[in-house]
Amino acid sequence: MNPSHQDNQRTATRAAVGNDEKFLTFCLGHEEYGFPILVVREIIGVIDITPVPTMPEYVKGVMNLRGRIIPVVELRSKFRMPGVEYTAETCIIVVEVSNPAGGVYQIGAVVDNVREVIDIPRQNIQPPAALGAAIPLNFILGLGKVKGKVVILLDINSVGMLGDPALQQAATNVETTMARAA
Amino acid sequence: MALRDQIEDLCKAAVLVDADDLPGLAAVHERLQSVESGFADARYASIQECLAKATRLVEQIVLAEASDPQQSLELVKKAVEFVANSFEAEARGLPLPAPESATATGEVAATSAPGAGGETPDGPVTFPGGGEVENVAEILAESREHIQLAENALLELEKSPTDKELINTVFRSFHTIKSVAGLGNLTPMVSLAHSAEYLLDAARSNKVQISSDNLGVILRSCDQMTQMMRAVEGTGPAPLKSQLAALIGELERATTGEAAPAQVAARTVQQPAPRPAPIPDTPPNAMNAAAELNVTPEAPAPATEVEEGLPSDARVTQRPSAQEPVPAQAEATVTGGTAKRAEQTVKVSTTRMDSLVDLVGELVIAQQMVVQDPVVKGIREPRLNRSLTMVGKIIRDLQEVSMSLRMVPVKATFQKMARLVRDTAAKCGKQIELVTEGDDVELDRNVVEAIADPLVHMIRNACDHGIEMPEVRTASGKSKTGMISLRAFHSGGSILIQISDDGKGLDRNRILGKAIERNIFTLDRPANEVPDHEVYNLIFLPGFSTAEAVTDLSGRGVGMDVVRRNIEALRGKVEIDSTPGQGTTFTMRLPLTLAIIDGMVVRVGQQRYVIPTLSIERSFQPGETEIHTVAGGGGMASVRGGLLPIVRLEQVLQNATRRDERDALLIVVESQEARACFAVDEIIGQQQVVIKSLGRCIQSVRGVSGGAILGDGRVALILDVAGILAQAEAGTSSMNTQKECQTA
Repeated sequence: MNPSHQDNQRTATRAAVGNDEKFLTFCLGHEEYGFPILVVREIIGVIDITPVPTMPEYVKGVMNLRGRIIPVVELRSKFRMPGVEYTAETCIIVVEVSNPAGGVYQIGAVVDNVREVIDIPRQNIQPPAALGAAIPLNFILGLGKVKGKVVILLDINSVGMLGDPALQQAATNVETTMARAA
Repeated sequence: MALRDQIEDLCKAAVLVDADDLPGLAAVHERLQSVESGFADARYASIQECLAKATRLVEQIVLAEASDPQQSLELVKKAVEFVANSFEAEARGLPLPAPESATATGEVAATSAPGAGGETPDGPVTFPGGGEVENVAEILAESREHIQLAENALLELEKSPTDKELINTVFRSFHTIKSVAGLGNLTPMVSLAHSAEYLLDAARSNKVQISSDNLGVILRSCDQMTQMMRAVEGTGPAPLKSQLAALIGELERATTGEAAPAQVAARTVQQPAPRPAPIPDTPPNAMNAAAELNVTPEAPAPATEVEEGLPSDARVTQRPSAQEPVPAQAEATVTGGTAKRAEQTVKVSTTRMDSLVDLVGELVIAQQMVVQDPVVKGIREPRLNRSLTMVGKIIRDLQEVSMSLRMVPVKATFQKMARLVRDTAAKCGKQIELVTEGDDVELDRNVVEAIADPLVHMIRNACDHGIEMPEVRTASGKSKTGMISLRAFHSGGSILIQISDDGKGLDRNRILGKAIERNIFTLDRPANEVPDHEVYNLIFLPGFSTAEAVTDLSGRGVGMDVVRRNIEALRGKVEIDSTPGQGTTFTMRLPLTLAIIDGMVVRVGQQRYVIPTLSIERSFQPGETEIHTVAGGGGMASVRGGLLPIVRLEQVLQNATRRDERDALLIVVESQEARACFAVDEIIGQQQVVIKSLGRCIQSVRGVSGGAILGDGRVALILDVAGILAQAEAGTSSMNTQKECQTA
């Protein structure tokens, strides 16, 4: 094939892909997952996490992100995978979650490692199929096919929801008061 | 400026202006008035009259009251032309053009009838065109400030009805409201402000005496104004048109009904420039302009009087329809006044201020992290260390200043209470006086906002239930007027706000009775052994109320428990003390600021926690003899002769750690209800920490009220003593049940 034609094609594809089709991929165990890039705020290495009592198992605690305290969720735990020791590659992805009640907040998600930002055009995303009972369907945005493998694209708003909606609402109310007060 | 030049200016302005060119119309207005004052001689009566009417017409156009603005504007232009011609004629020694003047004035007169329109059915007041003006929020904010100023002055006026300065304050407030509301096209507000302003003007020139009736009417004007403001911003219903008209009518009757005959009182207010005869207002719907515009020859003010102030004759006899023209100079004085104030304060958006304060908070933390870094600590460079110390000092100062940005004096809130007491007392038929102390004490503005409701509640209670009726008071040898004192002062790192009344005090037996009746309290010992303190605190329980009837003031039983909860949400406390027959005192203890608390950093296992110093009584290392284990595992410690339960924080906080009982340090803590000892491994130190919310989803953790970022950047949970104690109790009982089940 004509090299320049190939280049043109590639550029054309890149140009056609918008931000809502870019995903940050990471690994949990043997599978690869992805978050839409638009919800990712930053990626940091693991830092001190202060545990908080009475929280569900997968909420590891809170951490200090440049002066703000945000909760930290361990995704392996949330997806009921066995836990592992943190390694040098373990990262915390800070994502922005939208609360159904209208609030927006940030949480940190602990993952085994972070891979890359890739483009997955819409036509390559399949609706979620039941992947056994491991991961609830409402966590999954879709299954992306890229370079011959499958990336499980996650819906951060479901994954990041810590607790049931009623609690969320109460939490939002209290937070507003504290925010106004502090 | 010579009269000729002034007239030229006027002509230019009039030619260029359009019916919807507000600034242009304002310019014309100004010039009309300065020219009018130039024609001071009695010869120019008709010219003055003509100018006055033209001025009125312009006002109508501006206030959107003219039925046909274009035509009115045409008339104004004609009038200007006529005036200019007259002046020229005069200058050249020609006779004044009389017939045209009559026509001009006649026409002007005819159209001066305010286009109040036909009969509109009654309904809520509307603000066509208003509310969409861009700076409506600012207009309302400023108006609110002035309403508050006016109210305070009015309340003072009740005590000293002849104080001119106070009357002026109220006058200026309404005047300013009229101006800013006009800018926002909020016509009904302008009308109300104008009528009130006019009454106050009469008062300050001694034509009207300040009576309690008058004060009542003006206070009600404040209320209706506030109501209208709420309607504009959509937070409340507007008053009905009939209500507004009725109020305006009352204001006018107060003004003219008591108008003293024509003595010109020399103005005590600095109104340097000459003012043309202001035209009194009349209700928008009473109109017969032509007849009423017949101006008597004496009406135009002789020069000297104009310089001094308002000729009263002119004011009383003229009854045309326009608004009171306010001379440019007077407006300048008013704005001059505001300009002076503006030099001392600056308006800053609160979001900006909050980000500034947040950033300074982060700076403090970041600096701590640098200074406490082991590498930095090990540096032995004196110069570097000096620089670091300096940086630290500057940052501390910066923090103090930024914290003070959010502090406001409680004065404004206290002053609102004065009005509340007056109104409540009137409603109850009692005589009550409010005395305040410590108005200058400053609190975080969020705290001030949050205590307003609890204060209202407690003061209402004091008025309703505390202070007795005048007859009862005299019968028991007290003065007829009850006194409520509202004090704010510093004490031990917190702010105390006390509300005391010299009323009848709390009735212990009645409270106990009601509490038992409503099943919110059970007697576990003889009634008279329950200490006073405990009995009084019963009124804070939900569902409690001793009022026989639910008045609209209080008595619905929702009051005091909400009050206490609100205060505790601010990390404050509220206490009651009372002496039967003599009075009751509520004391609110509040932190200086919500963002920072003084806390004790402790270590339990691997984690550090912060316990608010306010809740700590003392700490000690218990000796062997002071610890007692009770069957089942719960430990007790003897503290000053009493036994207190030991709370193992690691259990409540699910912090797995093993420790030998005897090595623990005990911290005696207290909450509103109980005292206990927390067992910790180490006390690290006392420090001020910035409270950070734990993030939305983790709010509802009992026993934890927030997070603090310590010097090494790690997060420490701030403990809520009451929550921990409750959690511990729940835990113990469930543990006991478990044990029972296991052994069974």
